[in-house]
Amino acid sequence: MRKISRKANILTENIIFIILNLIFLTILFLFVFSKSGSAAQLEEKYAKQIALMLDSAKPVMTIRLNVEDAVSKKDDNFDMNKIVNIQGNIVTVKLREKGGYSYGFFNNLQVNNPYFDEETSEYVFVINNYAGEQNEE
Amino acid sequence: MKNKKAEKYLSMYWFAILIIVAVGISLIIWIFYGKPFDVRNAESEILISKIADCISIDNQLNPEITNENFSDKCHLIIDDDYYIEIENLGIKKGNFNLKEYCSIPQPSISCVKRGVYLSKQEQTGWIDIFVIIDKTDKNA
Repeated sequence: MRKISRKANILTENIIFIILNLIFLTILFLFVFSKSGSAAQLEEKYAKQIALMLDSAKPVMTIRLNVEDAVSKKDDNFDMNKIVNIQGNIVTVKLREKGGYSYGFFNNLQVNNPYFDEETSEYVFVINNYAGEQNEE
Repeated sequence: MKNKKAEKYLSMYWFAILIIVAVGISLIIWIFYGKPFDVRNAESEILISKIADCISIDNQLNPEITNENFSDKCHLIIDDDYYIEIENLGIKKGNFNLKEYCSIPQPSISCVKRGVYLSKQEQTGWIDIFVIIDKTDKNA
């Protein structure tokens, strides 16, 4: 009778130990995932990606950028068409009410208002000409 | 008996290991994700390629490019975060003070030099394009 009780005791110890380990690992993984795919991280990634894209762009060009990750991470009340804003030579990506990331580009382009294509989850940038130059009809 | 069990499951040793591992992993993640993505080298390469395209026409040097009209002709916005130098053509644009930081070993700024093989008035040769990008606060 005593033997059975001791064996049961050892089994319980092991189960508790495994459960504690699993809880610990789950919390760690959640922390890693939350850090790696946070909205702030995405804002920086997209702002720099768009800036580099525009740096290497030439008129006349249409660039489409897949922003599926941003759709899932943005604040619910945010309009997708207002996530990317280009003022002068500064790109600003804003996925949260309190946040946003800006990065500059050196290419003096005239970029039409970028818009979000819901069908493909892509952001579309249309470049017609260099800034200060007239569009050819 | 109860105390013994408690000691087994939630001993200080067990908690210490948990805390050390958790703090270690958090620290690694914080260091890794806390740093911004450094895109300056990619940016320098794009800028150099753009300049090379601008100063050449069919592998010949574009005679219209001068230090005065360089930014306009090449459609570049060169602010204080940039310095561009093309010695053979006497072009020097941007923040000249950045140049001294390139002589420091492992500088915090991006200094990239590339050569383009072009011909000029029946002469051929390398034209060095030197580009410096600061933007340290956003990249390092």
